[in-house]
Amino acid sequence: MSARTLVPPALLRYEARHCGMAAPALLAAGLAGGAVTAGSPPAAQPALAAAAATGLAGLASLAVIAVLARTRALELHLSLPVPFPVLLARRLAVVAAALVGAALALGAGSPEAAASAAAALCPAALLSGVALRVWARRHSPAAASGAAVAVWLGYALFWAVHVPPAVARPAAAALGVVLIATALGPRAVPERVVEEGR
Amino acid sequence: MDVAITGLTKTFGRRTVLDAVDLEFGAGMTGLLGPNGAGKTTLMRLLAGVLRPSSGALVVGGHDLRTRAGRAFTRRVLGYLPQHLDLYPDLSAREFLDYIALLKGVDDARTRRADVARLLDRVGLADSADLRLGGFSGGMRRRVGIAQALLGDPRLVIVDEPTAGLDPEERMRFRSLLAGLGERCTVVLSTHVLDDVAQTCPRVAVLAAGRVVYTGATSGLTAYAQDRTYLVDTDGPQPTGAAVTNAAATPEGMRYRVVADEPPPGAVPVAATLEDGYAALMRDIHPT
Amino acid sequence: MKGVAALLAVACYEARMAARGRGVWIGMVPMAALALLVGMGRLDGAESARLNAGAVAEALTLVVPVGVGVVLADRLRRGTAAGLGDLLDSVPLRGAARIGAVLAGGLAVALLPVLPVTAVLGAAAAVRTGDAAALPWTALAFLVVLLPACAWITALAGVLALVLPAPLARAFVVPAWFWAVAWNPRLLWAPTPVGTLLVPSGEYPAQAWFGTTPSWAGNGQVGWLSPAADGTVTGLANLACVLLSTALLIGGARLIMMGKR
Repeated sequence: MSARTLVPPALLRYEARHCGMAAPALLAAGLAGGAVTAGSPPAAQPALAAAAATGLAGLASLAVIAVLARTRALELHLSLPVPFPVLLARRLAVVAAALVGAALALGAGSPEAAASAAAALCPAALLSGVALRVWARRHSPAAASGAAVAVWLGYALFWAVHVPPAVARPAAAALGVVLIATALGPRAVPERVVEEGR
Repeated sequence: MDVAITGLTKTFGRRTVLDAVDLEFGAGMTGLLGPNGAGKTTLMRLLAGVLRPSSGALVVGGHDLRTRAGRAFTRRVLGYLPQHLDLYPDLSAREFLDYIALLKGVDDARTRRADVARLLDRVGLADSADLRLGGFSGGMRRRVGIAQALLGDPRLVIVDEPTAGLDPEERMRFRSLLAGLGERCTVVLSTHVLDDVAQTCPRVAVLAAGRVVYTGATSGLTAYAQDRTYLVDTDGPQPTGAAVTNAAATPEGMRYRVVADEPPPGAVPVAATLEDGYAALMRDIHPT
Repeated sequence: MKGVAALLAVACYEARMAARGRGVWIGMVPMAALALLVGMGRLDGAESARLNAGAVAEALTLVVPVGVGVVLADRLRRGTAAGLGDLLDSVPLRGAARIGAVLAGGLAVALLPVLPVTAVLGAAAAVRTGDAAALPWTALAFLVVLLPACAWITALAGVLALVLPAPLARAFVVPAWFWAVAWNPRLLWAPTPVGTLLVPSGEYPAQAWFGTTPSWAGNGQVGWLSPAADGTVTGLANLACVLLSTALLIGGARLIMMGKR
């Protein structure tokens, strides 16, 4: 068994199944958001597009938590040759792909497609990073959801309102990437979690 | 696959769970016994690379588990059945084993299919292979767990309480499965079921309060109670100063099986079993 | 009397479990920080202490219940875990009252991080207005504006998690809350309790006892359910509606749990 550079498609299919309905639900939300925005009066479209983008970002973080909460057989996974962070990253990649699809669908229904997609993707990275970081620390969906929702509202009510998009979005995305990278470090699962038998 | 454990200590906060454990496992089966909280599961998790030692060395096949390369090597040769295994309920038994085989690096689909089918048959789940795990009974889930531990032709098999929840027939099947494995690889079996050890493990290690209190031949542990095991028939109270390993009501009163340094009044000496040996050892460690 | 003591004990043990699990209050700490930011933004030294307390409570009620609902969504679901549901149903104290006590225990822990924030906001209001009465007014606003809203969302989240997987229930809680308190049907039409006596946003009590100017109260989609916010009567009527719908949700949870056996 040599080190493998390619992930077998069969394994990716299993990882996609382990994500459950999170990825399809995210895609559906993006499509629905895009359709509603496109079908609304032109005057309401910018506000709806902004709300839908922020909503999609929050949903993405909850989808991430849903995928994390579906992780089973933790102790077994920790004993297998594929490192656990790599396993998580593969599952989260499925969610990320669905999110990109959803953001593009949302953008397609908005007056400014690229800006609308970016308005969803950048905070989604931040919120997913927060969710992943808290989950990695506590393995508690409640804690991860609470933190992600608080940051979500904070982003929508303060950050996105008071900081220009040209700064707010890249900053959110960069912070999200840092949080994701640190959460998926080699010690993604603290010993306490193993000891508690989760 | 030789396993050498030297001065292994594991602490959680201020709690020491394993304290300077020295052990060696060679090819064949070794039973790991001990009371609840003795540190058996922690030792298994350390061996499986799930936990890291606080101090001491753990060497598997010449590879030190304190290093990343050592842990990677161990994971490639390991079959591990944790004490608690929460299976993916949406997968069938066949799919779950296929998934774990993929994670163990068995990339060839034909090999994987054959391995999975063979193991499902060996654990008696061939007829239920395509049913979802969410509908499996506790015993069936345990058998799936045993099957996944044997995927990928492991050279070190660590099984923690494998027969918990199995019915007698399943337990016998599992014993013969393990006995076959023990001929070609190293198997460490942690259990509370002394009969499983007596039937399958030529060697045994006993942990108590995080320390090794016995390591050696299983027959040696049995011998601990030799000439100290008695049957006592009485209609009075239970014998004092003895470890009672069994009690049964009889028409005349009670029959106690005891391990004691001095035979209680009316005691009849009998041949010791592993259970008696274990009780004698525990009694010597924690005299009541 | 024995029943009340038992219910208190259930709530206490539930609170103890929620506190030890840490997930609940850790999840609420960022929300409390956000609440502080939101609340500080609503303080106005030129207005009375009473009005400040009401405005702050109204602002907090927009965000805090979202966090409460999300972190407490699985509290009832835990009680249906293998074997535990049967065990709990075999004890003398069962039914909706026990469910209410379970939710109350969790809610108490979820609101722990919000309490110091409320105190800080009360103190800040006292400093800004120069009126020490801001502290008791803020405490009262917490009780009649924020707390009923949190109880309502806790019950709703509990019911959602009984019929949906917990992650999906958490995801539903957020839009459900904003649909219930902040949906603008003029922007996108949908039936919503916003502006009616059924709304859990605390607008009516805030107007009734703290003198705030409601944004929506009285402008609901159903005329007879949307009286203009007009003092104690509408404030009490709204409180009664919110508490009644909370009780109905708890009763619904009981029926769902019985149906699952």
